[in-house]
Amino acid sequence: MKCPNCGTTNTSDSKFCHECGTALPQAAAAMPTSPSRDGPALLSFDEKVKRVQEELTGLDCGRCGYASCAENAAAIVRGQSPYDSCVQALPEARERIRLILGLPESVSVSQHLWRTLTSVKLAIGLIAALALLSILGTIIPQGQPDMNYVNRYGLTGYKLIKFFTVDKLFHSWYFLGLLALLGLNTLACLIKRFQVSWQLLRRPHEGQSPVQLLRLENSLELPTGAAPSASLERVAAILTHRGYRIRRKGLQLAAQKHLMGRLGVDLFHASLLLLLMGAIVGGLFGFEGFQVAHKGEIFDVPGSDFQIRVDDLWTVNYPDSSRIKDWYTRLTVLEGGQEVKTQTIEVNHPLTHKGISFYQSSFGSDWFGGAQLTFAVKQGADGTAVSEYEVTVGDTFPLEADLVAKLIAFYPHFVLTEQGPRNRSQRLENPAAYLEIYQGNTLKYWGWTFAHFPDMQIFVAAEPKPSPSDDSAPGPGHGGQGELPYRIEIAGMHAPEFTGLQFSYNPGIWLLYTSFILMTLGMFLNFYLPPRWMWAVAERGRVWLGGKGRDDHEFMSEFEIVAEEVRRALPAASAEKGELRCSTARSSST
Amino acid sequence: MFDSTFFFYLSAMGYFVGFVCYLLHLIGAPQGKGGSGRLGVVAGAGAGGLMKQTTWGTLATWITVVAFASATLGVILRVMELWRVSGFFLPLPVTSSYETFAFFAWVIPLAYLIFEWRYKVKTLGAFAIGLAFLFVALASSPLVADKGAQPLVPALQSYWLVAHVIFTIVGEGFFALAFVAGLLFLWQTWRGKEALAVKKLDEVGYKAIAIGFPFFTLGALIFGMVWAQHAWGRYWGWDPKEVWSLVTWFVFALYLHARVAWGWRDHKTAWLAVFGFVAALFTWFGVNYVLSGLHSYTG
Repeated sequence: MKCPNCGTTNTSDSKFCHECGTALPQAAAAMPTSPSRDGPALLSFDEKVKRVQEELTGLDCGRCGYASCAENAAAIVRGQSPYDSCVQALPEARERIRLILGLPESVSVSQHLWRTLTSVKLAIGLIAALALLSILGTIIPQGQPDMNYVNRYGLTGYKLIKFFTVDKLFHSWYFLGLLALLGLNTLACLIKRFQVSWQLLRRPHEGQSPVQLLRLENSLELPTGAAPSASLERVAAILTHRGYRIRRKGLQLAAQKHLMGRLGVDLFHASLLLLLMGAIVGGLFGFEGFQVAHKGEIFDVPGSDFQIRVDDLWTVNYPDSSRIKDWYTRLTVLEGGQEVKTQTIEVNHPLTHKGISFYQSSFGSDWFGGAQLTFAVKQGADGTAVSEYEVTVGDTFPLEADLVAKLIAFYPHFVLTEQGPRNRSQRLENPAAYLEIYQGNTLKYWGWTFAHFPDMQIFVAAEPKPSPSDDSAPGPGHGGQGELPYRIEIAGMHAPEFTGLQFSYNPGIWLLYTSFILMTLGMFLNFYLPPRWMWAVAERGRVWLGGKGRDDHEFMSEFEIVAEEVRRALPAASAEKGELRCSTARSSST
Repeated sequence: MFDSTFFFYLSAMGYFVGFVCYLLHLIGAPQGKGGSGRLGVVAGAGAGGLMKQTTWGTLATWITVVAFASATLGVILRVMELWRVSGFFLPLPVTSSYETFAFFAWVIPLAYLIFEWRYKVKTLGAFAIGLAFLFVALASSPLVADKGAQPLVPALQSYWLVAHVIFTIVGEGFFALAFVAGLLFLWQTWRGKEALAVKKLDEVGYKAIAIGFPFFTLGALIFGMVWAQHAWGRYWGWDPKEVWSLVTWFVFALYLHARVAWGWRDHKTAWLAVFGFVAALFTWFGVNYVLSGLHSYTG
């Protein structure tokens, strides 16, 4: 059963809308609800005219083109005047005229568009579509190099992915389009719903007759010896005590509380729109970037008039542990060469200047490019230490008078692949140094030495060979005659540290934060302050109490307590205990 | 010896016994019988088959309460252990897989006990406490390494972490209740029961989602975004974990809208509640093990 007031779908047995409390039209109601065969068709011409005339205002304003409402009524039934020709009639009256005539619903294109846009069903469809697309966007990795897609999905798959821009799905026109449509849908639903909410908040809460009260899911009929107005006074006191706001009209009483709860849904959806606006503002006017910097480095911040200088950077470990506690970078903001401010940032504690924030994002050492190694040179079977040298890539150090070692490459993360040795990362996983040993200008030996496996070093006598470059160093295991009579071990490793700074500027962030607050408030109102209504009538030595709440279960508990209090507060008329009926809207359908 | 893991372990055993008792109660609970209908004075909310008292049921509740108390002790001890190793005082322990599982196994019985007391539904017990047992057992199993309290890595040293994870897990605890209510509904009707007889399950599921949804929205989405903005400089980056929490949120948004707009009840909403919780679980585990992204702080 659809509520004619707010459009909420109620259970078929509900008599009142569980969202707004409007009495729902019952199946047995006098008006035919559809242009059915046995409805209007059976009416005579005169009867139809009479009924149509009842729906018109009787003002005889003449704006329909007929002198009187009676004339227009006849013209409408004859089909000479449109059924909605009366400009004074309320939309509901025009709708009833249409039903009397048995005309099909005529909906203009704009009306149709509005109805679609304001339908929650559209929202459901859009949410479902967005959810499915989002899942797809996590199954297919986003923003990868083209080759990865070819390797994974083949050429056809790759072409499909590129055609539908699935590799950038969350920024594709159709994803953003659906999101925009959902925003529009939300806005339309919000407007429509808020009109009803506003009415509900403004409209005085009307009293109900005893018969209507007994139709409610929770009701009490109580005979009492007290005078009607005194009885209502007691009921009013009880309800006021429970936070209800009371309106009295004669011997009818209407009470309500938590009506603001109705606004929760409106507020929530409004905040979603605000969030969308924030995202658009941020997307249009904001920017993000990443900067790797060493100590002492100064870099320009794009989109700004200032520079950042990295004064210092360091790591702090947990006491007596190799676990990292935090990374720090001390930054100085420079404007036209002048120091403006200095701040030390750490993870979760950024620096913000002129709306641009700088975040400690990563930290590392330049092992591949700038490692500084200490080599221990040993001789003989017993490994007698000869000497130690501190070198960087490209440096040489002497082994004996005419034998010189040269550090050609250092791999912090050495792996042996089919193409030969490779470096896999900047992490110190398996550090290895590639050295060449010269006598004069003649290459005599070459090979690798490993920091974690000092025994595994391999130096072989050189065949004439091309000089290795960084990414194609020769593999161990082949070579000429004889071995190097020295052992060269990696005794120490250092590398300059760098800091990874993420920076971003987002002018939409305050819209977002505001929307978060409103969203929280909206959810609180909606889920924790559900509106409740109570009515009471006193007449002929009886009191009727009825009520409903959107939270039927909790409301029922409250109603039971109120009923009990009322029963105790009112002097009983007879031995009759009265009848309390409680059932939740949904479980009462037995 | 008497550290947090010990009490979590104890609670696991308690939950198992509680689960068995609830199961015996469920099997022994009389079948058929409609909902409350129109009752006389002092109406019992949804009396009938679903709140029938049995000895097993009473026993199950008490055992669960004791196991929950043990888990509570575990939670308190863990907070102190974390404080000792990290120097950070976090009100609740949520910094590693072990802790979040154990914490989840604390939230589910809490949510369940509230519902049992408030809505008089004992039939949910077997599935709910069974689920709690699974989580604390998973935490105690060799699948989860590093059971001891670990110092926090730099990225996790933020109070937003606590807000983000706690609200999310509490929300998911209530989603778990809706999930077991949905499962039970589908199972009971599949066994040939009238949908009407188990209508209460649909209602309880809806209540659980109505409580869980604000928690989840606040924890997973709002606090998550605030923290991301604070730590990474972008509140949203379409990271798989972010996308999946959005998908989870979408499923429950569908649940709420379909209830209002289409009047969906019973089977359809039961399936949605089940899907929603599965999506939540996938966000939690699936993303870490199947997909890759920024959120890999724990193994």
